Amino acid sequence: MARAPHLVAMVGSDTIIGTGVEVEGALGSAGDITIDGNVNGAVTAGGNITIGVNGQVDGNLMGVNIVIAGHITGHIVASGETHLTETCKLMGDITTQLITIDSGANFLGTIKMQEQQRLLPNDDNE
Amino acid sequence: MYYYIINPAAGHGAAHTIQDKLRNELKSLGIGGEFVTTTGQGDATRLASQAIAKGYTTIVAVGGDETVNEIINGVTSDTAAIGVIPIGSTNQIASQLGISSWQQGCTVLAARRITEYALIAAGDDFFLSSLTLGFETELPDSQPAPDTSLKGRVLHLRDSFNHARNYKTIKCKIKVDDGYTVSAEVFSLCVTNQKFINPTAPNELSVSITDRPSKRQIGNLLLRGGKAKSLGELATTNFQGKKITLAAEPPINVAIDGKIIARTPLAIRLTNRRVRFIVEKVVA
Repeated sequence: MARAPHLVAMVGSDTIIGTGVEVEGALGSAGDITIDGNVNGAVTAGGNITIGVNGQVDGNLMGVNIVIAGHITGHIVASGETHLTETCKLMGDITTQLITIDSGANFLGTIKMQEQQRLLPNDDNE
Repeated sequence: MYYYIINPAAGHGAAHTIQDKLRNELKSLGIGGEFVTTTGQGDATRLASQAIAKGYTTIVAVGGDETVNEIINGVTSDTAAIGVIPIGSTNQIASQLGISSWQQGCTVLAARRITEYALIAAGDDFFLSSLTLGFETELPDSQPAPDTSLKGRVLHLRDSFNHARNYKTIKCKIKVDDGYTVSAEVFSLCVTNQKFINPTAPNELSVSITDRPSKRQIGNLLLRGGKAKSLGELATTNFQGKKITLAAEPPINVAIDGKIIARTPLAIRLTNRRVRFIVEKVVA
């Protein structure tokens, strides 16, 4: 069984919701978001989202790379990679470019793989 | 033109001890000016405001965090700069500006590198560095001033440790930007401008919450003075916003830079009012 991570944060530009903390409403940040508490609402990050083993979210997640070790009821949209760890419980659909599902992860939903966006300039402009 | 506001009570009278050396140092650096002395709480705000009206463009706090905060509230000009020569008991603002001693404060003043910050308003008061509630805000009222003997300091540390261990966390609700609400059991809470902590970050309120530190963390905290910067390192929750409403049950004191200014509930917001600080290093 995975141990609860001990979160120690410096004051900074990332959003961290610690164990025992409750958030009601849509949580957004231009940077990364780490959740080890409870969130009742959507979570939108300009960067990565990490849901710790103690984290619970009742709402959709949207970010770049999303790692889930806690409980989620909601849909996941990741422009990068989605990683469901062994302690993850997810009820909802996933839209992502890359996915990793660890053995033991509990997932009920569908996965839609998004094509990677072209990084090279459009041929028409050449 | 430099206008030096000296708090004679700061740092247990440190200004009196160093004043001749300080004046000589400033003169040798070519940044002499007018020196005035505060006579009580709030005086630095009045003197800073008068200095701006007289046309001074650089106001220098010779004192600790409370003196700097009073000057912030008195400087209403967007073009004036604030300098800090730290001689107070608590010099966290100077430390964050990269200034660790009064001698360094003089050389930083002479170099005149400037960084601009947005001020935060809490009721009628403005601040930049730290608004706190919880353990550290209650500590000065609940603990007697220690005598300076070794025995006195050990007893004070023991009493502070017991106070911290028995401190009951506060139920807080923080509404952020009229969007989400955070509910938490709070040992200590600190609001600051995140740009002040991280110069590459945008001006925004940063709220950090410490829940219940371990015995070891409490020990380390007290040995380092138990102030906002130390507690910030123990924070388990951190989020940002432009305006927040802070409520606690039961209502509790709120302090700005160590001085109690209000009780909860309290509205706190990032303002368009700018303050220009002379800093050790400008980060692009």
